[in-house]
Parts: sequence; C-alpha cells; structure tokens
Amino acid sequence: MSPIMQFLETAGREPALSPGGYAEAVATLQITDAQRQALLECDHASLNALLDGRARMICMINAPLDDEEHEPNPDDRDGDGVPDQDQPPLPS
Amino acid sequence: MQQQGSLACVGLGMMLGAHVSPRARSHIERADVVFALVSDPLVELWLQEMRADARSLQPFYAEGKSRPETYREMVEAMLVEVRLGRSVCGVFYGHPGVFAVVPHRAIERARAEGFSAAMEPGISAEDCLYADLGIDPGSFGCQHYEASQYMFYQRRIDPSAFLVLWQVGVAGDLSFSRFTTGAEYRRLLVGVLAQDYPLDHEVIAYEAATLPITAPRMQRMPLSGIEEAELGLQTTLVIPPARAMRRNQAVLDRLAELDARAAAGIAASTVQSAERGSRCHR
Repeated sequence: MSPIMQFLETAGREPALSPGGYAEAVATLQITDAQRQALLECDHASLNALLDGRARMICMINAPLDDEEHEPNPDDRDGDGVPDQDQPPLPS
Repeated sequence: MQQQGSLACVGLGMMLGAHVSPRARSHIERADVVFALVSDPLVELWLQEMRADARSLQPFYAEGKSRPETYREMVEAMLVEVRLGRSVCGVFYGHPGVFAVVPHRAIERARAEGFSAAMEPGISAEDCLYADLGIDPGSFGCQHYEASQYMFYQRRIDPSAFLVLWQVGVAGDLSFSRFTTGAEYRRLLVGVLAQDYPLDHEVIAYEAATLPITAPRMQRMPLSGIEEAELGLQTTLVIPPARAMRRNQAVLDRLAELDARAAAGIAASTVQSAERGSRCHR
C-alpha cells in the first residue's frame, strides 16, 4: 500500500492524533511536497487530484421504486393500481 | 443443489480505514473477483490498493441514463462472474443493505439461481448521522424515506418524530436519470413538507465524513432554505421534530384499566389463598 493510503487508513483506525502529532506524522511520510501540503491542509479535492482519483463519484444505489415494473403511473401516484382522479393536487 | 459460485455484498462503511469490519476485509481480500461502488474517489483508490484488480461499478452510471437500467447492469455484471463459478465480492459504501437496491437485488438473484449469497453489514451514513448530530432515534422515533418516494406517494408523516430524507439532491426526479434536480423541484418538496412543518423550521443538510482528515457536513438552515441550498447526491436531509409527542389518552386509560383489573385480581387471589391457608390450620 502506498505511504499516503497507509497513512489515511491508519488515521482512520487511530483517531487520537493531536494537531501537532498529525503534522509530525505527515512530515515523516515519503510523499511529494504537494501531497504533504494537501494532507496538512486536509484538502480533499487537491489530494484527489494529485492521486488521480475520479473527478466525480456517483453515490446512488437506491431507487424510489423497487422495480421498474412499478415505475409510477402518472395517473396512479399512490400505487394502488387505481387512477387517483379524486386526489387533491400537490401543493405548488 | 447449491452451485459453485458465490456472492458476498459487504459494507465498507463511510470513512476510509475507520469502518471496514474484519469480515468485510476478509471477503475483499479472498474473493476471486471484487466489484466496488463507493462514494469517495480516495476510498476507491484505497480499495484498489487492497485489491488492484477491483472493478469499479462507477462506469455504469451516465447522466441521462435510466438508473433502473444502471442498477440492472450492475447486478448482472456481478452475477456473470458468480455464474462462472467464482467467489464474488461486491463492496459498497456504507451499509450494503441500507437504501441500496443493487446489493439486495444481486443477492436475491444469486440465491434464486442456486448460488450461495450473503450480506455483511457496514456502518451507514445513518449510523454516522446519529453519532455526529447526537440524535437517538429512540427518543422521539425516526422516519426514513427516499426523498423522491416521499414526494411521489402520500405518506403519513409524524412531525413529532425525526424525519430523514435520502437522496434529496435528486428529489422529484421522475425520469430516474438525473444527477441533480433544481430549485423548482426542491420548492415542490418544501411545499409537501410544509403540510407538516413550518417554513422556518430548522433542518440539517448532512454528509458523513469519508476521510479521517475531513469533517462531516452539518449545515443547519430553515426548511425554506433547502430550495437554494447545495444538496448533492451524498446529502441527507434531517428534519428534527416540529412538535411535542401527543399522549394517546384513550390507550393510556385502557392500560390503566387493565392494570387496575390485574391489581384487583392479584388482591382477590391473595385473599383466597389466605382463606385457604387459615382453613388448613383448623
């Protein structure tokens, strides 16, 4: 594992590092100056760019409906299989 | 008959290095094939250092592409390897069973096809928000809804309990293909919520920390403020109770009656026992 990932993993496991201890630990890492600066500034975006991480992560694995077979019928918003003609309109 | 391939969907937790369980790590290290869907690019890089051959599920997403289709493809990608007789590990951020249709569906499908399949829990964003915001779901109760589902259907919200809305950044997306919905959709969401909450009621935009060097987002704002707030895919909206719990006096009265009846029964049986006892001594 690379020193920077090893450091982040250890920091995740051991939350007791004081601010001084954190800077000291970062200073000992065999990493580039830019990476060191990003770590010292807790700069997630810079660190990600320096390590060639994805620019955009999608974090959705849930759907409002369990199955596309149950995708909402515009006329049956309560999903009871009956058109909801008598329902009041949604607030605007 | 049980077939040779297997599937384990494991949770990586939210924070790099902090939340992965020994069982999840064991699955990751031992599986023949590892698929990954995590919420932070650095967490993905960390996972790839654990397993250089880990296959990200991120490329399946595309703006404008139906998410149900994306999810079907993710499930199928894992199942293809299971059917080839391999032990497959699906690594998911947070808890693989919480607001996560892909792991549930993959396990269901694998089992239906005769393969061994299991889920290993992880620390979810929900767990983190309880810790970070100091919320105990047991104190007033806690309701969880996917934000769009909450909008699409008529739900009975109890404003004396917490309400947590997930995927609020895409609230109201009927197309299931966007990565964000705008202020007009949020305005509609606010309108629905305003049936139960005042517009100045304080809500919290929450995002769990994904690195040990960053802090969680816990941005407080009035309910009306969510229209213009920055709400991403990872944002969860937490709505604290807006009114006190109301006593259900009818049920309380019935319970008191039951208690009184039980107490009277105990007293009567004590008297009868005492009388039987005194007869024996004669």
